[in-house]
Amino acid sequence: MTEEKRPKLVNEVALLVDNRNVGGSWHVATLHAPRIARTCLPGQFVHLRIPGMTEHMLRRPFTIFDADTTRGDIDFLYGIQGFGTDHLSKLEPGAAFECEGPTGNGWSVPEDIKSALLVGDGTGTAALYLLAKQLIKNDVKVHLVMGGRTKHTIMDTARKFDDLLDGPVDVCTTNGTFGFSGDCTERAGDLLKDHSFDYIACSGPRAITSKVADLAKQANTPCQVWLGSHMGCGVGACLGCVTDTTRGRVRVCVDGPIFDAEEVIW
Amino acid sequence: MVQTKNQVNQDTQTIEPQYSSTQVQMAVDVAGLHMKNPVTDAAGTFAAGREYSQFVSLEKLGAVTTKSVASEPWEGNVPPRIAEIDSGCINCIGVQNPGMKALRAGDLAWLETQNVPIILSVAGHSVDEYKGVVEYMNDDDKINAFEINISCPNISTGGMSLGTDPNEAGKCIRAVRDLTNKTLIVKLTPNVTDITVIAKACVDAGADALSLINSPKGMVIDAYTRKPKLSRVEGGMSGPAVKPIALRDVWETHKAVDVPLIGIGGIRSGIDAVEFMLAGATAVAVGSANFVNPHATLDVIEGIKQYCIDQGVSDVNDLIGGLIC
Ligand SMILES: Cc1cc2nc3c(=O)[nH]c(=O)nc-3n(C[C@H](O)[C@H](O)[C@H](O)COP(=O)(O)OP(=O)(O)OC[C@H]3O[C@@H](n4cnc5c(N)ncnc54)[C@H](O)[C@@H]3O)c2cc1C
Ligand SMILES: Cc1cc2nc3c(=O)[nH]c(=O)nc-3n(C[C@H](O)[C@H](O)[C@H](O)COP(=O)(O)O)c2cc1C
Ligand code: FES
Repeated sequence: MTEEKRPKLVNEVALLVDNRNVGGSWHVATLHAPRIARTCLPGQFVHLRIPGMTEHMLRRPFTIFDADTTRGDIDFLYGIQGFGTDHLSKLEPGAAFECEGPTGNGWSVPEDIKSALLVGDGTGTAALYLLAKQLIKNDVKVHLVMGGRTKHTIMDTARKFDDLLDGPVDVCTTNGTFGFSGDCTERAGDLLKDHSFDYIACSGPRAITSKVADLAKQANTPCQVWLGSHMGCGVGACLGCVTDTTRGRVRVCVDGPIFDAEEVIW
Repeated sequence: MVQTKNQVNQDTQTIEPQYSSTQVQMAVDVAGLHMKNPVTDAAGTFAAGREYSQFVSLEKLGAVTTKSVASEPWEGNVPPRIAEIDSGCINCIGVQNPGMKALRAGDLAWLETQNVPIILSVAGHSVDEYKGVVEYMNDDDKINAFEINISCPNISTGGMSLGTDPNEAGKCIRAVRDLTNKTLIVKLTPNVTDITVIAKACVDAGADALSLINSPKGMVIDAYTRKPKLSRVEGGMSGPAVKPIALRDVWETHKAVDVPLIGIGGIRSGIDAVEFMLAGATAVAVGSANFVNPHATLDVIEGIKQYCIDQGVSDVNDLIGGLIC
């Protein structure tokens, strides 16, 4: 998505509508952020100023998991990592955030594709939900492989995808408590032995996205990956978040977070 | 005290700062650089203003200070290059910049349409490289001032190594002084034993004004991975955590030299800015606060004005060096 065609970046006051634990340390938060909800594209994120974080001053980035355009709400899926996400998990509905977004480029799916393989690991899977929605709307057959450590954390998210995709998604757990025993790249590798897809999208930690990028290359299939990075400004001004690509050292926050797998220097 | 009455537009819930209209004389003069209010952004936190223009009407700022630019493109340090610290952040960007030609053809050309004074921040590895940028940019009438960054902690040659030695600093500033009649600002590092020694050397060499501080050096470690959090191991700190260091450096420098100062370091409110002015700054620059609050520059302007109204100060210049001690 070229910068000119993207929805305008806004900083809106967003009230917390819901903040529920969905297993383990995973939570889904709902924010009332109508301008962002109504304009965001699959793969974009919000940069949140979480209330009560004065000493931990930087904003925290979270992928827009789902958006309800009628209500003007966005959901994001998060796991507790450190101070900010722990503090966030304790906030009650009504808490007021400053929510900057929708940020980043979003996925750009090649035209006229018939099938897509989506591979998500951990909370990174959130970046694939709106993409799956869009693909289904365009009559693309979607196969989702979702990986996580335990059944406990990922089932709620897996069910949400089940409902969308009208059938059970391919779940992998590294501790073998549910579905395929192993990580999502192993499952994706097995799948690619007997199936071909027109497009592959992968979101998760770099160790996962780089493996899937390799698999896609071997299968000669166009592939896009989501890349994370520690951020300062989240608007493209500080150059804190860069990653190396064939285009040079570019900003993850506005030139990404979605990259063609081929252009990433791993 | 309410600095900014951020009103929430009920339909859109977008934050639109609403500012008071009572008159305070807000204009300041930084050695020929006329600013309609004392507030600019700190180099490297605001790029050339384009990104933040989505939130801030740039013509409301006293000036826009650009990201430091060198004669050739620099790719900066490898990531990770930013991390959070208590009340601030630390970075090792290493002055990634597209080089003076690409800047001039691109974002600088855009900034020149925004009706705001421009301070061009200049980086280099050597005196010749600083001279190269000043020479190339000097004929651009829309640039009002050069800020010579001899204080970047994140590059191995030039940058801070020039800014920590009074002789080297003096040579560099004399060399660029000979090339330009524009307002010449020198940005100082706090990573020295006595900042006033460097300040005097720069003023003796022809600096019209000084800006301070650039980032103090620091380091962050992840105990669990046993690795530094920044690729370059060390970095430069910014944000409220460095404000007391910056205030003291401004105060000491104010007592030592007789040129206008631009105070920088941890400013996020009008009151912070007023503190710098009381310590001797004529103007201030807002840096990492922009990352947290994209309207920070405007909030600081309004906060200074509100302070003046509350305190019965009719001209902001009356604050400069007004510390009682
Ligand atoms: C574009 C983008 C989208 C993201 N989307 C999600 C999501 O949907 N769900 C989710 O659970 N996580 C997501 N993350 C990661 C999430 O931002 C971090 O887990 C969170 O910032 C950690 O904050 P903390 O205060 O709990 O951790 P701390 O470790 O206390 O944070 C300290 C600093 O490091 C930064 N930081 C720490 N871990 C990460 C990380 N993994 N990535 C980037 N910055 C980090 C923080 O933002 C903060 O500035 C996303 C990251 C990016 C870059
Ligand atoms: C991400 C980042 C990049 C910076 N880049 C530059 C730069 O290119 N040139 C420069 O003179 N200072 C640079 N600085 C230093 C700031 O201009 C400022 O001196 C410092 O951050 C202290 O101000 P603050 O606490 O308001 O951020 C940078 C600071 C940050 C945080
Ligand atoms: S976070 Fe500042 S440029 Fe990306």
